[in-house]
Amino acid sequence: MREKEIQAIYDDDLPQFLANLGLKENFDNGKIKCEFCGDIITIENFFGIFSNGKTIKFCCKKEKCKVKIYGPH
Amino acid sequence: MDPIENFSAEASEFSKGFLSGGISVTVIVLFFLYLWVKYPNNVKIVLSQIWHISSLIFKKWGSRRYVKTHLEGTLGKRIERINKEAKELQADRLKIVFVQNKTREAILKEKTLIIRLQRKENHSENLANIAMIYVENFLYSKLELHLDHEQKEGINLYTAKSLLMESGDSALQFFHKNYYLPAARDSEKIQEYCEKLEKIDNCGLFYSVFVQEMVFLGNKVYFKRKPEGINQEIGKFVNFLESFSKRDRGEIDIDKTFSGTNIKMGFVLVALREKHELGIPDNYIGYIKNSLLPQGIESYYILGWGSNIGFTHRVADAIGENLDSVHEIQRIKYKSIFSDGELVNALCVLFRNKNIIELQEYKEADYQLYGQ
Repeated sequence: MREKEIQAIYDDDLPQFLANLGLKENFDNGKIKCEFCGDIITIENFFGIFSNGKTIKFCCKKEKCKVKIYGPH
Repeated sequence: MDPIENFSAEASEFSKGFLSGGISVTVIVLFFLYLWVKYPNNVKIVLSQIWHISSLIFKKWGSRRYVKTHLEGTLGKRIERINKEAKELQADRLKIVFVQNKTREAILKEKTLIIRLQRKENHSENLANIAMIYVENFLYSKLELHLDHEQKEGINLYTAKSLLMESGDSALQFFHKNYYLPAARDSEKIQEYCEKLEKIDNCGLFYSVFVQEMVFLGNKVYFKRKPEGINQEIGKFVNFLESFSKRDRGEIDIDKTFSGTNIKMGFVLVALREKHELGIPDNYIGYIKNSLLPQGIESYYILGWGSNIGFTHRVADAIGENLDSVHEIQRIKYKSIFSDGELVNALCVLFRNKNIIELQEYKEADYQLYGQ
């Protein structure tokens, strides 16, 4: 049986993770938006990140937004 | 006693104790190793409870481990069960990898999705989200080639829900509110599919028959152009299984065979009292040989319930011994709910025709048959 990995970031590690990516300041200043609905990403509505190879994109936890990042990446 | 003798007696006692202690530790380690290899998901569930308790003292450390092992264990156990019920589906094991140290460059290069996992207090959200991601990304990769949007969504939603069956009410409620209801509101067809699949699953036929047939169909379609009309045939097959699932207990005058263009399967119900009391498996062999095989049926599901299970095993043995053109794939014990609401133990033995036809194109007449 093979293994499939789902990559995740744990709640407590989120601030440090964003700092490592150089995005903490923008995040704290409300400059990061959901790729799909345009809502400002906050610690409450942050769902996940993905990339198109050029930039890191964010997704909020609204159902209609998160289903868009499901599926093969 | 001489001090030298005393010393040597003590040394001998010490080495005996050391040896027996070493053996005991080795046996215990080997036993846990065996459990880890044989029942990895059960071990993870037990471990998750240990992390859960330890998180009361080591809050962050224990909680993080609890979330990871509980997700892998509970969902993994369901995935293991699905693999047993649907042969050749080969659903992969689930692994959660925390990537807090991942660099910006690595994320850009890999283009992977990184999902946030909530603390243990909101773990039901984690369960629902990971179940949905797993199903959408990995479970039916080979099957999705021949499903249309509504079929894919309906099957994915229903499967994710079924993965959460043993994860507690709050995970199911979260899933229902955040995934099922929005999808059902947007599409009546998806809602309809989910309802039909639930009826099929209540009867114990979702993974062992429906998903199994989709796997067989997937094997036919793999690396081939998807023929027009295949979605209609699948739709018709779902209706057939739904109607079969709704039958009353003891009802035998119901359509038991689906002889489509690319899906060709039949149920053999080991339920008739007269045949059971006579204890003659020959009737079933004759039915397969004279009625199903000439129709080109490819999958034979021998079903038996309650007190018939023993006889069903004998029928399956006799089929295996007497019919050269089919071979046994597997025997699955499951639970079935009849239309009167009673839950009964059941057995499904799957035989497969050795002569499987290649993928067929759909003709004009097939379109009419499948409702287009």
